[in-house]
Amino acid sequence: MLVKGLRCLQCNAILPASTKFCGICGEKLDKSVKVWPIVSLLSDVAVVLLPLFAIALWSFSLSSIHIRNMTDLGLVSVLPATTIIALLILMISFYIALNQQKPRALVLLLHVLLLIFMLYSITTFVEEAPRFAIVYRHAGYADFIMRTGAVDPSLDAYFSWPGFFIFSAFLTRVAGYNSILSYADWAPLYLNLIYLGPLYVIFCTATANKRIVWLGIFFFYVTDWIWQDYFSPQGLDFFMYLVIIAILLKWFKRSASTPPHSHARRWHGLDRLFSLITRLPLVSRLYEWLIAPDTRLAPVHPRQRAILFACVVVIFAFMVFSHPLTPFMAIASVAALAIFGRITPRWLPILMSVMTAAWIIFMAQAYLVGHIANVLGGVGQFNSAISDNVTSRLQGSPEHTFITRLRLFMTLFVWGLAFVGGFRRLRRGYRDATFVLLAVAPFPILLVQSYGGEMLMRIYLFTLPPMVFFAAALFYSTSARSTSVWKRAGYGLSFLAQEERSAFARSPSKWMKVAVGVICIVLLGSFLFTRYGNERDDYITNAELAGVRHLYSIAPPGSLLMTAWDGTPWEFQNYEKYFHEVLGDDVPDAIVNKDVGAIVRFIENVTATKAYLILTRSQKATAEASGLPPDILNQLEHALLRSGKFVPVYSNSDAQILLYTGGTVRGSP
Amino acid sequence: MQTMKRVSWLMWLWPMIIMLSASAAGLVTFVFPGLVVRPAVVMWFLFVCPGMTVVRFFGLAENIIEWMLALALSFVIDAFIAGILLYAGWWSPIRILSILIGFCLIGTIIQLVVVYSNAARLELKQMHVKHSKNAQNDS
Repeated sequence: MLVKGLRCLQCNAILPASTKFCGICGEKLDKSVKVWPIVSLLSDVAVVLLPLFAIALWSFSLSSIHIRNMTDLGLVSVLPATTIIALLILMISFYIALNQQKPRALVLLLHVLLLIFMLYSITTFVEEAPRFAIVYRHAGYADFIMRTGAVDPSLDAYFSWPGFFIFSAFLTRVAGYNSILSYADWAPLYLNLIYLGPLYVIFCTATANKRIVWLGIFFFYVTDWIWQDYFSPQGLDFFMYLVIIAILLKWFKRSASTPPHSHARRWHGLDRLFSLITRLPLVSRLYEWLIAPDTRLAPVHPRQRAILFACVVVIFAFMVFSHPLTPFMAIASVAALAIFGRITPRWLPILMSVMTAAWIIFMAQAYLVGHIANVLGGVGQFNSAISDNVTSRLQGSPEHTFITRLRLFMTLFVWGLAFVGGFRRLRRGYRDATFVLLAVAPFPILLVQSYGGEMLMRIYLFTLPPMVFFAAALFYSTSARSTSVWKRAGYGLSFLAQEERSAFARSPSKWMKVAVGVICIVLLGSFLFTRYGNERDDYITNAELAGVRHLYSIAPPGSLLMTAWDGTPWEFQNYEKYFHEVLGDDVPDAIVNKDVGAIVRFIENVTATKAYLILTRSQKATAEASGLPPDILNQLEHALLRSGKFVPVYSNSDAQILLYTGGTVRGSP
Repeated sequence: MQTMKRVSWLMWLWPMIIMLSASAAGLVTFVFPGLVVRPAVVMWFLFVCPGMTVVRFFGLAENIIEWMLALALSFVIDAFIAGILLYAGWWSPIRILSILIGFCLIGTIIQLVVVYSNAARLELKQMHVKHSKNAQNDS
């Protein structure tokens, strides 16, 4: 065991010292590296013990987190050093495991599972109630279905795409719960765990180098900060999107023996258009590169292929049935792959478009009629989209602005890493046109819709898998070229890249290893800010929830329920029986100027039996983060009470309820 | 009996798990609704079993792919059955669960029949080969 051995530089196999040729890959061992097996034994033990130590340390550190002391920097402002040390230990251990001479998939899997657990379940353990106000509204949709056994598209847009909520309502009832709130807080952990499978499959379709695959997965989990993995249709539909892409890339890639124009008659128009465009020399090269077939193909029986195609269609049908945006992202990605002949059948995006259009025309009519201007109004409004998605977010308290800027910076940083990684792979002779297309396909949707200022974040999410793949490939791609990439770009030429011959190809240089470590630290460190930077606004206390529950217990149906600002955990029960209004959206100036008269006029214009205003801790935190003066909502509360038109009916440490008494409270529900 | 022995126990594993899970989900919902394990049992059944019932017919070689598809198809099957019943005006979570349990049990029985018949066919083929060899040797 303590005898010095040799490591083959080609395949990393450890061989006896007297060996002349590698028994694994046949390489001559002239330039092999001498290694002490004891070192590798120690690192084998370390990569199992370190993550276990990290999770133990992390668990113990949770009791030291005092969530109420949080500032606008978010969760990181109250994280004890031990939590951060635990994450660092896990990262170092992952780094060692990844750079071992023969990394073990099970060890790397253990690290990724623990990373997901530590990063995505921390709020579940340290916060009192399910986080994020929108989750409570989603609870309201599921509650409506549970009570009525129906959906009402006139009530809310989500009832035009109710698949997720129907499933939630059914699940909640048969699991014996009364509300999704009993388990919704586990959604981020669960969803991120199930993303792992399709991500692994997707990355494996592009490379056999498992270092790139696992580092890509690690990068994904330390850069997925945009919080679409809460209990939401988007969270589940992103999984469905990944599964569709995984199936298509694994079994539906065009083989080298099938030219891209095999359906020449059917696609005559499209191909003629391409032939016109590609007369320009540079465009011609780019086009040839884009249509060059992938080399990594999985064998599949025609019967299996038919069944898998049916799976793609039914999974997409679920997407169409449950979310307005994800089908368009899927269509954009699949269309990009089909147009350049990277997958077959090429008519798949047409089928997907027909399914989406049919749902919108026949089932989402109610939404379409009332919101056609919203749907089509953003077409071509690029400046407006950028303003909604970027500029308007750069407002608020200094800490909040710092978090927003950091998010923007990290987004650009990840995209930049991906660009450099993609470029490096191109120079090294890899043809990753499939991933390049997946990375750019969702961007044009920004020109059509700003999605309430969230489109850029959604695009970031949908492009994240190919982006992190390229970012990881920056460090571990070995050269695959012997001739110009352009020469090898023509279809029909099959070649095997060096990394495709070995699952864990040659280790990168020392400098690259250092760079991997530094990038991991930067991404992990920034993740704690970017993901949990708004936590002061988003976390919900039991006292707040008790206040809102009390409001529903005293407000008769048909009442007008108001909040001063966003962030209230409400609308989770009897959603359709009340008028819910956010004064910050309806009369923002009245809030800023503490204009009681304007608020009274607003109330008078609503036909309601009674009117209540609830003020909560999360509203105050959100208002301050949005740039309103500190204490503004407390001052508003005093102004309302001084006016004599409101009386307090409930108060606890985090929630105050005022009843409007001064005006004519009239009408029927 | 010989046929049963020839079939790898792994072939029987998932049908058995699905059958047990369906039975357990039925028990905790209809017979012992107060059990604390009810959410875990029901979620396991709904998240994995309907999809795995279907995926076992695909003949896929990789476990990770089976799991990925089983999860996705489970959500899809659950949501479609629930959605169809809701739009048909027959919303009842118990009815939906009963349909899903029935779906899984029927699927599993078909799976077992397929496994058994494949094994029997294999055995017949092997017997035929053996018989042919014996006949050749005799001649």
